[in-house]
Amino acid sequence: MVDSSIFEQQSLIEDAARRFLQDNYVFADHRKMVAEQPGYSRSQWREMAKLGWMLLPIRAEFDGLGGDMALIAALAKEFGRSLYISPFLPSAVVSSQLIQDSSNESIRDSMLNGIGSGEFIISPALYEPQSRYSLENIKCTAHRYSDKIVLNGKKSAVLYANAADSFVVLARLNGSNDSHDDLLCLVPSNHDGVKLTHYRTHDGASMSALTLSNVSLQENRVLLCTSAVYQSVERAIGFANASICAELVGAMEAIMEITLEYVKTRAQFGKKLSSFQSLQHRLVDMFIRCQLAESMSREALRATQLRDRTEREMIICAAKCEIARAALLNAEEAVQLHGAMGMMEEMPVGHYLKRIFTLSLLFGDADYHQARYRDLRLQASRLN
Amino acid sequence: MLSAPIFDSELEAFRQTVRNFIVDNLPDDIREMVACERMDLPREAQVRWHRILRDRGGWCCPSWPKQYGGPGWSDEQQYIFEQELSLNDAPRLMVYGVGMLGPTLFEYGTNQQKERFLGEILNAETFWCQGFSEPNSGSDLASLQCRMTPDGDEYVVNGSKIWTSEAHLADWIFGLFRSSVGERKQQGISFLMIDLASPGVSIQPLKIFEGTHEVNQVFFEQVRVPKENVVGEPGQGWEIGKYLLSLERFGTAEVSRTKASMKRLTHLAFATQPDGDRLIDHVDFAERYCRIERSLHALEMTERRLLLGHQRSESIDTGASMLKIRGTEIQSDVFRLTAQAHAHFATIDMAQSETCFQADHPYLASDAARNYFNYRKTPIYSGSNEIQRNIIAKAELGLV
Repeated sequence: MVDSSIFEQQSLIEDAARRFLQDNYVFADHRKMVAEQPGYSRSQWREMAKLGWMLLPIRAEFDGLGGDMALIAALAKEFGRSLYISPFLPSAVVSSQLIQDSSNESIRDSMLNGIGSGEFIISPALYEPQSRYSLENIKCTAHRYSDKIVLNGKKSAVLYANAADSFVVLARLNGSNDSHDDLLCLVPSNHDGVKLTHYRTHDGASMSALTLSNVSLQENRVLLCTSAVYQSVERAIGFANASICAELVGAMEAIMEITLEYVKTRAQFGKKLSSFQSLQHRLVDMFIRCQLAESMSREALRATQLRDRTEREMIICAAKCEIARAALLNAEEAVQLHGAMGMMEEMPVGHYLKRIFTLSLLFGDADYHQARYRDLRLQASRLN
Repeated sequence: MLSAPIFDSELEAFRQTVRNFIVDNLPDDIREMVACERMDLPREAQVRWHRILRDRGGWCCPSWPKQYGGPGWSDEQQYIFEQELSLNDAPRLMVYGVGMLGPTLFEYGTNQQKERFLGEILNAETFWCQGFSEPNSGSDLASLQCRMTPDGDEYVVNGSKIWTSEAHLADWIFGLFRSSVGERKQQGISFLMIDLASPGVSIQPLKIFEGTHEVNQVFFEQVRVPKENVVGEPGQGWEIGKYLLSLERFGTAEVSRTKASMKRLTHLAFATQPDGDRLIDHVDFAERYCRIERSLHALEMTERRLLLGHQRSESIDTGASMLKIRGTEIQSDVFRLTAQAHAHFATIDMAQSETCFQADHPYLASDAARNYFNYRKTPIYSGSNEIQRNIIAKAELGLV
């Protein structure tokens, strides 16, 4: 069973995060911050870094706070509850995982220090316009010359590139079709040949398209190469999804609370909405989905630590698939139960729907994880 | 199947002990009946298995403390035991006497009642059934009308109970009866035990639409019952009934039984058919299969989270209602898909057919359909899923 001290640490982080966000990030703050560039407050980000939150995903050997997914999830869940939006997921969770897998000490340690102190924002540039969610379908090329590497290609869905100092770019050795020939390189955002197009996402966060034209890097900018890349990226995406699951569960809890509050206050036909059985049963089903999502979210974070790859990936796929669907359904139900008020810009419920919708589509949507689960299930039976 | 996190090494050793015992001692004929998902086991078979478990140290009554002849197990041990029974095709334990009445007597029974009835349950000498529902009191249980009228040292019972599982196998019935009319319908209800051999009791079998006989209607006409057969105080019945139902925490969700059914479906799904094909290679089937597997895993983890270990602090009062709703929904999904997995062979009712044109397969298919029909009862029984939602709405979410 799980070490009970982890539960204590989890609740400490949960309490601290909830207090901090209640004091600094209520719904009005959310609306104000996402209305301005870069979509989050840099001073708040620095304060959070001082609390040590960016160090949570970093292992102790790199002077972090251990990298325990249970603690990252406790924080992510609070972000989800309060609609807090920032580069935490791309930088502190995903890039920091990828960089920790590197044996290139010259850049690894300084980058991790920067992420951990909140000073650097490093965003992963993995997906491509044609790849959808598959990372085997990579067209960004890396030409190797004697003393340098030259990157060409396009990257999509680069989160918070507008705030990023560097990118972790996934590329493939020129001419190869095999993920064994992949590279992860660190590319500064102001490097020659880097072109960015920034987009605002529906939840108020930021996402960019990245074009690399003859981006010429020193050999020491390579973080990882060969088959280790695919493994590292797969694991980092597992962390991302476990974190997203926790964030979705936090958002589900919040909309459950605000919807219950609403139906208990609002009256029609001379009775409180909460007295109508058809609405009661829909709320009960929302509640049950919250409870099951909580259990699966814990499974996802447990799975990130599993050695058996098939089992690990299956559980993460199961969790993301089920939680993404449940969260979106709950958000739609919450809007419906608010009636026309649910459509109002000044009501939080619609903003939760936008956030849940966005999160559910990052790092693989429910259908992707459903199909991947099925593939893994068939592989598992072959091994048996 | 997704594997659940293991318990600590001590509990895993316990699991192995329990598993070995079941595998080595469960009679083949009983195993076969359970593996076909039959719920209507003959009394003789139930008693035989019960006594095998009893002789191992009171395992037949897993929730009973040692002083009453049980094994005195922790919640975790009981949970593991229940899971191993299911996964190794052992029958459900005798729910009414062992799971319900026994623990109710620990709490509310007089010394005399404990002395008389507990030993007989432990030794499977008396077989119990439960009388709650009535023809006009189903979901609205508190409106029950079956009357008990005091007359000297006795009560006189008149009325009837319906949907009484196993009444045709039982010696005794316990249940809720109307002893007076109070301000609220929950008042004036008493918890009474009645010997089914008493004059004036008659039992009428009710056949369910797939053909089996599990439930009955029990009629009481001027049945005289000694006053000492009331459990607790007269009028305390509603409270005792609620307590009794709360004992079935793992019971009605049947998570471990559904895991066993899922294991059977897995064999079917991954077996190579005569044409070399496997069901699981069909995308639509595989999607439905995988979806059930994921839901079941989420349910199992939720059950553990709410009922076991240090996480029990998160336990919610309405957890049993929630598990019952999702448990029976998923159970129905498993049985539906298992039946449909047999394609047109599932349409054949072998019980009504004379010839067997393709050995074995139609029997399996026919059973699968029959089980699917039979298990439509689970979202209805033990408080329908709609009633469970009412309970959660009121008690958990404060919706009134």
